[in-house]
Amino acid sequence: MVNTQARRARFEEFAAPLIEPLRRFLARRTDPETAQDVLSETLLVCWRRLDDVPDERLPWAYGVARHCLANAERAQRRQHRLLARIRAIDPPSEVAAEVAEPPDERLHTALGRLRPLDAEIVRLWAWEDLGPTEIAATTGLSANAVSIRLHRARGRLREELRKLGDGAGHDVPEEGRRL
Amino acid sequence: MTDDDLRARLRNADPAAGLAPLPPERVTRLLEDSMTNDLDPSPAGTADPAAPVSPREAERGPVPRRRARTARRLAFAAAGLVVGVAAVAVGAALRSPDDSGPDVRPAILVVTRIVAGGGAAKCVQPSAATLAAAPLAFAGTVDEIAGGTAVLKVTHLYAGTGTDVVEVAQSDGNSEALIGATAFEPGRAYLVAATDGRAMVCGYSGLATPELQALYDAAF
Repeated sequence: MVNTQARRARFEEFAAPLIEPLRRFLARRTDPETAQDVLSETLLVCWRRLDDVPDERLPWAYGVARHCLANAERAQRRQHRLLARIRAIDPPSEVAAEVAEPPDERLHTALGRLRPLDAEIVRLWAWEDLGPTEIAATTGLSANAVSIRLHRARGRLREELRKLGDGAGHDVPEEGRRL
Repeated sequence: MTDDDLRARLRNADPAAGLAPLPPERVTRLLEDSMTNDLDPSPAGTADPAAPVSPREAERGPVPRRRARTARRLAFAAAGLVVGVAAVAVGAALRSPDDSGPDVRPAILVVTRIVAGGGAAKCVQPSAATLAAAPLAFAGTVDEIAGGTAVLKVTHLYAGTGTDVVEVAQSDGNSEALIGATAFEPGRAYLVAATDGRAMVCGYSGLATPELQALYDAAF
């Protein structure tokens, strides 16, 4: 009873400040419904693993969310394969896509051309505002490896942006859009 | 393009830029769900930061929903809400003198105003002995919530000088520790205790659940 009370208090103190950063983390990487589910899963894992929480709380929690998201996406892919088979048999009528256009599509395209882990390191650097040590705590890489990969990934991202035909902060309409 | 330029451009394209924060009650519910949906927390797997969670653990299935339990355990303690009693019996609303008869409302309405303050609560197991020492303890029903203030009509006063109404005002709400302050819901009954000008949280104040009622019965 004492333990339960204390544990609950500890969890609340730990998790409450993480919710908004985790929501943003997930909103950047998946659709709203999946984000909501994965947030619940992430918090549940945090509760279960409360005794393992290191000093770097937020990067650790991002790491948990990454794994939960990866699992959710695996499950979704299985579901999509099933849906694809159903659609082949019984195609639905065309419905306009409701997915909002990203604000800088060329950038997202360029990001999408990086290797997944490199793109993730760039996102963690730019959007979550993490340093190499924190990115290391999130991804499980060493800080040194993160520094090297981040440096290369930024170069690669610039290169991809150039290939897509624009410069910094320059969002002209694209010819020959690939996506 | 420098690193700073690149980062600025990425930030401009942040898909989460327009994400509105969750209302505090949703945050409280999320936290509560995590705790109540998993009654048997498993011990640590690996402490390796490279594997924050094993796939097996993360695949333990979707989070089940147990709303009833959640609702019972919301409230103050859940969120580290620290409430300060700002003023006792500050207001008096006189009813008309000819308003006699078996009116359940008191002739003089004494209002106790409680203001939420910051800071995270440190929780220990609630004990009847500690509760019994509280200078103010009451059962009350939330009449209304207006402008961030929950107005509780006192239905039973366990300890303290006569007060008929307690107003609990959430402070600016800028502190993470205040999440849960809006867990008051109109029409629901609460048990609230305050000591040293601060409401007692962490199992002493909250929705009038059978457990909390038992604690109050034991204390008073």
